[in-house]
Amino acid sequence: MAIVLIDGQEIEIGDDERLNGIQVAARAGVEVPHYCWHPGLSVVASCRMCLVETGKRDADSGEISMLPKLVPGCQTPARDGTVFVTDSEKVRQARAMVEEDLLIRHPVDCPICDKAGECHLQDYHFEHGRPERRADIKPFHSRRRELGETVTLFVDRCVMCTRCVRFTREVSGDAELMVVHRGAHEEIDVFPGFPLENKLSGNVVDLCPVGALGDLDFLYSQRVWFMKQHASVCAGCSTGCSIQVEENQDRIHRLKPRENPHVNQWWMCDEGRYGWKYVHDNARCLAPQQKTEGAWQPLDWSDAPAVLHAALSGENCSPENSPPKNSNPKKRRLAAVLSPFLTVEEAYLLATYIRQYDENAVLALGRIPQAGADESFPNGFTIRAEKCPNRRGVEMLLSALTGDVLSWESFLEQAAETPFDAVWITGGYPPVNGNDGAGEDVASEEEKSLATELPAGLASSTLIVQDLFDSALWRQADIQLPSAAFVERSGSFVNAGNRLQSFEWAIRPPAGVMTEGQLYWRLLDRDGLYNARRVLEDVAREHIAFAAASGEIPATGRDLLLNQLV
Amino acid sequence: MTNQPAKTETPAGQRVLSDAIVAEIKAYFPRYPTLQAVTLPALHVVNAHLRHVPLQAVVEIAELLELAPAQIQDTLSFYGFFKQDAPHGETRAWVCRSVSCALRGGEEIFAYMCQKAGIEPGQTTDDGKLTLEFGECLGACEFAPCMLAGDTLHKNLTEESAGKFLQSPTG
Repeated sequence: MAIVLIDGQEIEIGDDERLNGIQVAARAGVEVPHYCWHPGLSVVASCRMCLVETGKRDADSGEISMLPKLVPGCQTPARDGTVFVTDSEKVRQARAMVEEDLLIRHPVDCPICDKAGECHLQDYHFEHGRPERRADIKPFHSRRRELGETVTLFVDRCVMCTRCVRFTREVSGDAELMVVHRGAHEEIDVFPGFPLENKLSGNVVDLCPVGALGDLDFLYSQRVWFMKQHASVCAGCSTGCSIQVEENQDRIHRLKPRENPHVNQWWMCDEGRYGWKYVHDNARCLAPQQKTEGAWQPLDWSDAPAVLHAALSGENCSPENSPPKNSNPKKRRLAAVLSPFLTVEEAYLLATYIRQYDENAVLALGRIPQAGADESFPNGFTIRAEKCPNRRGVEMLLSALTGDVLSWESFLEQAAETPFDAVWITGGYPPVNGNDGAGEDVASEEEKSLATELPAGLASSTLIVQDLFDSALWRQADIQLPSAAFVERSGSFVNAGNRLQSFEWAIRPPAGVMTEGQLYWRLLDRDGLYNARRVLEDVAREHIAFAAASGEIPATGRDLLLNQLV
Repeated sequence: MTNQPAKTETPAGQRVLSDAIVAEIKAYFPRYPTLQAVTLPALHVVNAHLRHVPLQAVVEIAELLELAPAQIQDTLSFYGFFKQDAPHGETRAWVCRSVSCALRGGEEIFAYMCQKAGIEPGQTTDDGKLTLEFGECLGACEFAPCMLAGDTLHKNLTEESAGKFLQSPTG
């Protein structure tokens, strides 16, 4: 056990922990300001903002000897007996000087800068800078150039921390960014003809501690202080990156990665980052409808329990009375398709509801959208080919409930052999011509055919379809229920690595849409509002595969294989 | 994902690095632990042959060293030595302007030479024979003012010796 002294405070660190001055100080609750250092990148110690005093405490005599000069905290390892002083006059002077130097050439155009409000230069200057500057030059340049499709560079705002350059070399691996020239003429640039166009490019904007790199998608769309942040999980692929949804008045403005050492570290891909646009798509299905005698009738959500009861059991019940439970006198054969976009809780509630009517109801896994192959980056970050967030979760639930996982294809075969009386199909798939961030058409043949043709075997069943967008299934349904997008739901996804992450809704669904969770909650006659936490407790109690999901789920999720013999 | 820029495969006809230059660069490979370490020798080889390092040469060097062009350009642009837009003259001369030479009239000699040659500092004569540039300390303060032409050090420059040099500039 090593003991490090931070401003006189003793901090214990593990023997195999390799921490620098900034990290150890953070444990002591002391923030050492820094620009160039980032835990996910190599150390260059070039910004000099984290200068601290350091020294060593003699193990025997306890005497402390300090180094005369300041050292960068990011580059100074914390060992047993290392002493850091972060609040001396010398350190404060050094920080003020660094701030003054950076601001000599900074345009200070905060009023028109996207970063204002979350800018390190602003914050550090407020905290560590001098109230006025001594240089009498008043520069105002606003040179700007595009680095690629997604990122723009405001050249003069840059403080040359080179985080973005290191990111493209160490994490994304394509090394498109560089520092040109030398000294005061240094600038970030791309080589002519080789723009910044890797699938992680948006991360350089998050990395930028100042307003130099701008996200072309987010640029000038919202001031950061108007947005509320919600911890969420990306539904773009089965990696399930921890993200932060930033919205204002139920309108998303951007998604940002949220640090999660077990899943995405500090990064997310452009596909996920810009892939939320369909949430606000005008083509979304918004109105619940039922087909009566071949004609579409609007369905009131308050009538939904009775209507669905009739559809599943074949028995009518008057809308005034709540439908009787467990009544399926006609012994109808029922099935539910659980989409890999459903949360574990929603899938569980729907399965429970269907099995009230038919305890042998067939439960199947929804279609798994695939695009290309898994793509890994030098630091291990992986974009998965499986473009859905919760295949694992639904699979685990299905094998717990039915002992088997029935795929969409096998389900269709079964339906073709012996048609079901009623089938409830959940969707939640992004639109077929989904924007993958690069504007490419990523729809597979199967997706295209599903958009136009109804799978054989479903034609004779009563179809209850719940989806985000129009499809052949949707049009052939007997009852259409609009679905909620991932940012509108609460629940948990299990990613490809068996990590369960819970999240709360970030925005309210558009008018007319009831979230899956709330609908199923109501269908099951539970009290009050849908509470994902309570459902997950039930799942964890009932199914051993989810045993690890009991109790509070940490922000970084929980490994479901924890303490399980597999 | 590799560092290799797969985006451009330059057609052989447009390549600026001849096979001889490529061979010369490759001869450095065994001498260094990584390919990236060959960046500077490669730039020097190209500069010696082409008298500048055009952008296309940077792309080709990057292909050879399995790096992105940005990584080569990053290093290249750090140095004022490598010109990119046009070749320098057959002889490239640096007149020192650091303290000793400046005190001994280096800047005046330089102005005289530029005027004689009819060019501005940093430019190349029309016949392509000579490029005149400011240089920083050449490490020969005892012979101030001095000038480095190619690999030859010209000591104790006077208008007379400078004039003689301009008549037949060789390095």
